[in-house]
Amino acid sequence: MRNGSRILLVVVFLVFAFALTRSVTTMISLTQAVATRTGAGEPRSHHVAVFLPEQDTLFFEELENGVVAVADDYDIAISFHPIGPDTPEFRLARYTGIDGAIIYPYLPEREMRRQLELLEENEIPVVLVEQDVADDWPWTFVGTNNFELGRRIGARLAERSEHGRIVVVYSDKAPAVAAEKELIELGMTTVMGDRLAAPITRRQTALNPLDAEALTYQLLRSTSPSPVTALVFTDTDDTLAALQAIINLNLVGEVQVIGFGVTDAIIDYLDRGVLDATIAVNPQRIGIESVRVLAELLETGNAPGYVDTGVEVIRGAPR
Amino acid sequence: MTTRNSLRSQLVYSAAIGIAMVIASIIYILFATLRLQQIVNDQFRTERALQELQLEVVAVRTPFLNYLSSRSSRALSDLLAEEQVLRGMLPDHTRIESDPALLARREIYSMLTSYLDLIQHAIDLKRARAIEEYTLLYEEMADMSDHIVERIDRISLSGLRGELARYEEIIETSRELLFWNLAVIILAFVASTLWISISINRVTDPMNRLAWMAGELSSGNFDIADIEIDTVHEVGAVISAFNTMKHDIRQYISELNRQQKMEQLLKRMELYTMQAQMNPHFLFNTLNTGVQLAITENAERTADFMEHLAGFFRFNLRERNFIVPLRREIEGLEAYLYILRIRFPKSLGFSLDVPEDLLDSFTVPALMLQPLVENSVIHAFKGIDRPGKISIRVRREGSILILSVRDNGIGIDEETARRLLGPHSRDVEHDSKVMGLENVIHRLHFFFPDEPDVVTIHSDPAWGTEILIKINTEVEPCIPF
Repeated sequence: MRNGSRILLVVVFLVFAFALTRSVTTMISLTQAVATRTGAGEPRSHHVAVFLPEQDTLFFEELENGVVAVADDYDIAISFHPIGPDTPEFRLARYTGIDGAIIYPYLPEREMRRQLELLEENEIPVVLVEQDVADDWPWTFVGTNNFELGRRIGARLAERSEHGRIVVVYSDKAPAVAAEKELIELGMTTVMGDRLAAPITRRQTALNPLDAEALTYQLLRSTSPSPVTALVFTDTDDTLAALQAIINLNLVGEVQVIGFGVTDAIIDYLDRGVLDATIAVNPQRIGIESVRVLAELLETGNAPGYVDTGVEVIRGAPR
Repeated sequence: MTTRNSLRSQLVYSAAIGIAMVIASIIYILFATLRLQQIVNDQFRTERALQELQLEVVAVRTPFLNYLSSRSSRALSDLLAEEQVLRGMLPDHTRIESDPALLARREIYSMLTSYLDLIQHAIDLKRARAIEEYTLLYEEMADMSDHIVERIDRISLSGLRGELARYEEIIETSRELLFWNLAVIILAFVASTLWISISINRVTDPMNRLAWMAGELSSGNFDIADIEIDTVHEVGAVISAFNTMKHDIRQYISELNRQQKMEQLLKRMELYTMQAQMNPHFLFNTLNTGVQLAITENAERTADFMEHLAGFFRFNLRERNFIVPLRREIEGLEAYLYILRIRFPKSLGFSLDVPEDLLDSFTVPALMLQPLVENSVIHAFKGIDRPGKISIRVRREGSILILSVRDNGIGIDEETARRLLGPHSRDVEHDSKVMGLENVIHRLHFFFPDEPDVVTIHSDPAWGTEILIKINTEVEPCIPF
């Protein structure tokens, strides 16, 4: 009887200890969950603001991915902000306590320069990505050399014996490329030379990802002043929309198409020979390099003035 | 024995531990509940703080504009007051966190610090009457203020959405916490109750066993096992004393039983021996008388004689009871007297005086009177020529039944009387002449060990001897097994 009571007491005490342990662990987990939500993590050395246009495109998405991928490596906290004529965030950037900024220049040149100078006055180092502004600007640039981009496109086009009309379709969705039309076309002209039967035609799409389809129909149905023999796109969405139109018009192989970007759909078109080639500018690498260069600026105060992230033309399957 | 093991200490420790366990559990539950409230409160604390901050940002605009418009000291005072309030709401330092929401808050705090610095700058410009500068500055600060308010809204909304999404998770975890807390308090009560109960049992169990043992002892069972139990000092001492007492009593009773049995055995042997000793004497004498009578008288008397003789033998030889009714004793005596009258028709006279009402009212030890009469016949009339007389009388005085055998013989000298009545008379060399008397005296002392005067001898050569047997009828004779 007495032993039975003692055994019962031990059992009750063990259950009590278990319940107490569960209660304490639940309390701790609840406290930790709240602490995690309040962001009590390891502090970072620097706060860098990344200013990108408010555009939902693959290019900016991959650029952001590149920035985020290496931020921890440089002990940098990243905040993303919009930049453009309609948002004050970039204009107020110097008041936000940031240690540096990675900026995709998306303001009128004069306004852009004034704001960059204000940042410089506040000793906030800046790295510009993809879109070069002017040769005399002192700020570090990370991105594609668009003249080289034009040369590569021209070399691919030149592999064909003769061309009629070549159309380059720029887009608001890829403002960095669109801003340097002349440089790109200069590169193309440099390589193609006499093989250009007519001056390069420029076309522009807006932010709508389907714009290129209608434009392609329009271009390919028109024979004035001469039929289009090659189409060059500078945005992935435009490329995909245009290819659908070309397939519908049964002009696959008849029109040489050089697209933009490396997505699964683009690669599929390359494999099927619908797409002749695609331009790979690797925006993720731009993001990575921009963080690396800015970190170097923050640590040493010095950085190279220009970092070329390269460009590549990927060929499709032969037809 | 240590103080720690005392009854008082045990009770105090047990109660203290049990109560302490319950109190500690209640304190923990209280702490957990308060912590839970704090957690739920903290969940929306950031959003509340941001809203308050936003209101204050808006609040500072009016006095700022009033001051720039009027330059009144009152407007300046209001502005500075609001500026101080707003500055007081800002943290001194904010860490750079990787969390986007915290980074956004950090930017807001930085912008607000800059905003407050710009207010000071605007005040200076106003004092310096730099109208164009402070007008432009006001315009920029208005944009800045709007932007801050708008960003606070965005952060607040985002945070609120996040917290609402997690609210269910927190409620679920809180529910689990409350369940375990309830289990803790219930189990603490159960464990405390068990603990105190066991401690009390440790004291009361030995007492219960002690009570059971006392009951067994009172019913005569001394063969129960000792109580051996680990208990408090005081109860342990009682148990130890009780065990010792039980052992002593058992040993004492055992010794008493042994002595009693031996004593009874001796008495029985002695009585049988004494009863057996009388028979040969009498049988021998009466048989001689019977032979003589048969020669000298006719057969009718002889038959009568032999009938009494047979009756006497029957009484003497068959009687195995130690205590007999007075009537039977007298009947045996009458048979004996008949024989004596035949034997001593002229030289001895006998008288028997027994009230009829006493015969069936009392009992006496068997074979008391006959040996006394025989003793007088044999010894009292030696050397005397006058006729002898033996009187047997029975009477009652209160609760005392007195049996008297008196003769008018030569008497018994004082030394002999003392020796006969003395305690060591049996150790003396047997004297057959007084053996019948001595036998009776001994038996009476056996039957009434607490009555030293149960038999007395009164003797004088001038008038003879009287032997008195005084039986206290209120005292039960001690009858051996």
